[in-house]
Amino acid sequence: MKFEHVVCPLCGCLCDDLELIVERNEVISTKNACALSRSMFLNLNADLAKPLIEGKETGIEACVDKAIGIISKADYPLVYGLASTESNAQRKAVELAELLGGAIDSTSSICHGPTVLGVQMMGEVTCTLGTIMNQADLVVFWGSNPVDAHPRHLTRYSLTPRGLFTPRGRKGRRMIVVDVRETKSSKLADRFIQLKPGTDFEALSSLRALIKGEKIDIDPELKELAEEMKSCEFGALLFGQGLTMSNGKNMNVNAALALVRDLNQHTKFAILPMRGHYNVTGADMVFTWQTGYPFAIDFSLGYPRYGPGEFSVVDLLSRKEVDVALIIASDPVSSLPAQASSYLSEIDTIVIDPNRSMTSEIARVVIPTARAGISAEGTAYRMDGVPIRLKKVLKSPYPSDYEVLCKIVNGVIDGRSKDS
Amino acid sequence: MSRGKSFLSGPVIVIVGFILITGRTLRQGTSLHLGKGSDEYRIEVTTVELSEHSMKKLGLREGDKVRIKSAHGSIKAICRRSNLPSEVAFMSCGYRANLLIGSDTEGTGMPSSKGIMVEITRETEEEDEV
Repeated sequence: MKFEHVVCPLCGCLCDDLELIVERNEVISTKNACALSRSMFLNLNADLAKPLIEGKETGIEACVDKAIGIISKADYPLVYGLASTESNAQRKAVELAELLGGAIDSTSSICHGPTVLGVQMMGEVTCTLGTIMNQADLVVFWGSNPVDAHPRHLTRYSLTPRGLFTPRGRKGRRMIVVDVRETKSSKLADRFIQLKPGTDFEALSSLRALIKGEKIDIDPELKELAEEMKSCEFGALLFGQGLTMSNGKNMNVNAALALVRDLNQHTKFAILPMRGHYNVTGADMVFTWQTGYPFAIDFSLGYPRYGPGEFSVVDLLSRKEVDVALIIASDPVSSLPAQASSYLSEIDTIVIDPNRSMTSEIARVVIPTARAGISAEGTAYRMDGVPIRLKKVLKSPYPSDYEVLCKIVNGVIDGRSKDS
Repeated sequence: MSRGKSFLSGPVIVIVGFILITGRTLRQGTSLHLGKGSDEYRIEVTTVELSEHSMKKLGLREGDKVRIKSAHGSIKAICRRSNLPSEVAFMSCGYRANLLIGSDTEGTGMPSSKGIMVEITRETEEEDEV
């Protein structure tokens, strides 16, 4: 069977033009998929999770009951992950964290959390990827390597496509890469500016000074970049974790946001983060609707409190402040610093995930689910905040993340009713 | 920095300080879907990229094993040549690199996953697999 206009639930590009050929409930070929996406679709069954309690295979109902039992007795549980699931599951996870008086965080805190902090301080001049495609004649990738991390970004949105005011496509567009190392993306650029590691803030601040007309003694390449940014018709600064993970973190992002704000005194310029997981933007959105805050949220006092550095996953785990961890569609054992993730094997960890992971290996309970965007419908938010409906193309023997979270929420409420 | 021991007191071990950058690679992203236990994924997240100049300085060839130490941990890795500045080392994001990253988030929630000061030496112990 052929499925058209399938949305790829992998990275923040959320490409919605994929074609899949499915036979016997398995994807056998893909069209329009990048290398990352193709690898995902063709290996969907490579490492599937099984329902486990204490490492022993059992039924999924027993796993859910066990999870309800553990989580109901927790003093201060952490609900974490959620960037690789759909927004209904994210909403239900917030409800659960509030019900339990625990903390909730998404992988946003270890990718573009500093971006959120920067935006909250500075505001942002933003646009959609469609605007970049239709209008941008200059794209600057700063600390970002789209060829490796978002392989179709350049061809669908930012570099080669022809748009309403960009009829010449690549020929009418300049691409600049600013990075600490040469990458596959920098090789495609018209100009590559190589910074010394940890000097992004200085470079961005220098550009701001140049754009304001200050005469400073600086690398001529930065002077030329400033002139190019000022003189374009519509520019876009697309930044990655080169800014958020490097020394300075949110202050680097502040400097980039301020630069783009200043550029708008001369021309049109917008800034967008290159978000990684396909629905990490959705996690920020849903958490904000529900609580007022985008990540690192605590409910222990009965109302939401915001605390990056206090209620964020790395801090909670490294300070050993939680006694149960419910991990949804994420693999913190693999993706967090070992000083933090090692604590997950000391406490009761429950994993809800379609796939086996390093976290499911140490978890007390593993609940396999239908993968959102492939075996379950839902909504996800593209990196520019545009919501896109995910399709179901394969059947799964397991319930969706949302259905499992509903059962857990109902189980906790029922348990409390019986106790009272 | 660079220092050596006299050959009279044992093998010469050159230690060079690097700034470790972690990031995504296409190979890491594609092998991820084969499972994190797969050889492809394991090898990719266990590989450190160094400049030709640094490899020469450390007496390394592609595929040699190195020991990487930071203030937070120590790992073995396989080295690969790359077009990097001589002071920079690069590793794919993954469980191996995360052993070198500290948990201090400086009040942001974000650990410092890029720009980690590390020392790299040629690995002399052969018994353990990387």
